[in-house]
Amino acid sequence: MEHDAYCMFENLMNGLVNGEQGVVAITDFYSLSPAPESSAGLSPVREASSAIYHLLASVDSSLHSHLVELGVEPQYFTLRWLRVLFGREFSLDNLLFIWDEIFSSPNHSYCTEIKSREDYQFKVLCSPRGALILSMAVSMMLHLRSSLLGSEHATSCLVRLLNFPDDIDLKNLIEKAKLLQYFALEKNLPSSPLTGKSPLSPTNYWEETWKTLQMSGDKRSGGPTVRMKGRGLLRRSVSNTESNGSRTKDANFENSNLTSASQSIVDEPHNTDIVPVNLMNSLPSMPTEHQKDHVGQGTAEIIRSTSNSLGWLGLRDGDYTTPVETRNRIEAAREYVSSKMRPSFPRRRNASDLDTRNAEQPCVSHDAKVLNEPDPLSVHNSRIAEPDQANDVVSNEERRDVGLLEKVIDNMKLGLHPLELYHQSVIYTVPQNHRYYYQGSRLSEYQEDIMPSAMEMHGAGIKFRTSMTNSLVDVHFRTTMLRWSRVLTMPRVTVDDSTEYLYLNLMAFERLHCCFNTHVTAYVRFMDNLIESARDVALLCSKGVLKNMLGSNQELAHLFNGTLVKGALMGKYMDMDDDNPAQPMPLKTSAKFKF
Amino acid sequence: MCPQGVRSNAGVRRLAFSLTRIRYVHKKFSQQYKATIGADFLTKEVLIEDRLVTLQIWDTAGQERFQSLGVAFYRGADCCVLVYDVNAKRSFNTLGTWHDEFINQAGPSDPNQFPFILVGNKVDLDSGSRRVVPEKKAKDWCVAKGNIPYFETSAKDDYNVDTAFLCIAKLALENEHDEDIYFHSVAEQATKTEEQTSGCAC
Repeated sequence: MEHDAYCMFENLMNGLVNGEQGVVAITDFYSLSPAPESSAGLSPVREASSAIYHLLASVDSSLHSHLVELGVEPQYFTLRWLRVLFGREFSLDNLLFIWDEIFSSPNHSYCTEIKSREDYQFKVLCSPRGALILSMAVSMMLHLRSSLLGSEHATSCLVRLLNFPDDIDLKNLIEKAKLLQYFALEKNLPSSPLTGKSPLSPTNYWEETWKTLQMSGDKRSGGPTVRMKGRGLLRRSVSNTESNGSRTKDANFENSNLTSASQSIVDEPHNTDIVPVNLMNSLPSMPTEHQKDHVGQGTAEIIRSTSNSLGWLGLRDGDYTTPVETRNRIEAAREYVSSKMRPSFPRRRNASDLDTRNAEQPCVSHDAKVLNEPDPLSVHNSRIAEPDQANDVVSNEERRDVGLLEKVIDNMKLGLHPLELYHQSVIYTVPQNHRYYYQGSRLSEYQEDIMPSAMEMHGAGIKFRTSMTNSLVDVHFRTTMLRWSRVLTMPRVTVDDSTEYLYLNLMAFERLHCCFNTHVTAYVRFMDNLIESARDVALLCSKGVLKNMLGSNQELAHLFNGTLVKGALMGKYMDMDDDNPAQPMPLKTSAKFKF
Repeated sequence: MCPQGVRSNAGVRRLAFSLTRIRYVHKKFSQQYKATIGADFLTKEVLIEDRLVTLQIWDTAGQERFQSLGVAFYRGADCCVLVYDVNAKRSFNTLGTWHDEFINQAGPSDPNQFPFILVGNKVDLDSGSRRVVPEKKAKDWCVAKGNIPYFETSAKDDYNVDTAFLCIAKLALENEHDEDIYFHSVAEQATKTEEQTSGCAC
């Protein structure tokens, strides 16, 4: 027994696999002499540390640049993480799960035929096990993301990193690490014979991006039908993004894209309309503690997507020449790895498939809402008029995505009045053996897809600024010049005793005059989402976005959450003018989706 | 002059003895404390002459060598604290190496003026009967290195720990006063305090 334990320990420390030398040997992490593979003459543990930052930079460039800016060097904390394989960071029970994953990953180098230093960037990333270890570290850093971004000194960052919280969602953490592992293996191939030969096609590029967004919560499980639809919509979003303004034929979609809020998208090509979905969808139905991190992740994805458009790893040091070249390399690496790796790792591949689907799914609900929200009647009408060609299941699923209706029933008629449609939807009868009607939980998920409150955004590192003008449509969500942070700009609005009547009247006016836009309604809904409590009001006031003449913050919160939004609700559903493409629709009712 | 209030950058970096540090920051002492691996980081706020000073204590394990953490770890320190075990001759003998190496790595603008502090720990052990480094010897060493302050502490009994840290903070602050008032043009580096641990394994 003791003998076995010792042998296992020795093999672990020396990295032996069946008598052959593996890639990861724990003793290396204690060695002080420069690793022979290291070009910079760093010791193996320093090499691994920089690999962690390298990986972090490609998944979350803002966190990476924040840490670099503060002078938090990776070895300050990874020395401990790596040397005892996270033994200090987790309780023994949790640690065993992590070690299980690590030790079940193969430790041999996947690039047996390429030995030379030029063929990889980091030796430790050459084996799936090494990649998983480093991915685990990155996953842990991402878990602490919001608190790290909130720290302004190196020491406080390091204190957080070296006092990893106990109450963690271990499963989520490991899942994230495993997804990153795949990504890390790909990232480790700086060049391959395919470089340059694979021009980056937008679709592939974005699919790749989405794949790497797998680290999003993975909470939602999507059925295959959703996936089909998600793909389609994703493509459409992509084409919209890429062509930057050339819209597809879908009138509703086009319409909702023409808002002035999405003007910022046009101004700023890196802002894609896919982005907010992640922010939104990663939020709902999480316990408070996790919610914060989820906001963080959402932002991470935002920033990721943003940085992706400008070339991955743009912030990295001299390793890289130009973003385009980097992208080509990555793309080549992706293909290379996929050709080499997939057969030997069916399980990984499946996992990433599954998560691709999950990552795409937010698109579904988002697009469906954008499509349908302005005018459920017309959308519904078109759905009924032209039965979905793909298959019936998909179309049912799509109908269910119509966010407004409680249930969508086959053969639903348009009826006398929009209310009749809704009326039908609340008193539907359940057909026999129709499984979709029983998935109540899915519907409630969509309903929870609301914009995060001001405090949550603040916690995620989003900054608030006043716009240049006082116009209510002057709401934008942007990246700062250096892409370190995201800024939500909005007009400075003074709220006093007359505001309530003023806005109610304005909204009534918008509702009664169909040919008119609905900007005020949109703004009210936007503020309603932004403000959840008096704390949000206090925050917005301190940022100068709101000026409170009402007395208490509580009162103002109540004004937006209670009185005003009731007026806005009606406006949202009754606005029949939204599919008039001639009308510019800044902000509109779905302003919440527009940043 | 710095305004009153929280100064979070009067950083004391790195300290020696994990135990001393834990004792100081958490006001508790545990026999089971795990050895430092690599480095550890703590902050502690102290009140000095109505000013709240935040010490940023960077601690490195005794067995660690400079190259594993990198030069950046030592740069920007305001004061360096060397801690040795009065019961272990070897930990005292290596002090000189640590002192020189620190100067080497941190590269302060004026190596002779850079604030060091020497702390002899574990004076409580067996009521001092196992002591092998006499106080005189340590004080001589301090004089030779340019009159650096010397403290004898016991982290276990909480003896002198606060005093030592207060001195560290004052030293860092004094240096900064000097600089603010008189040496405006002189480098930033000299101001910073760094505490640095000696190679005592504790």
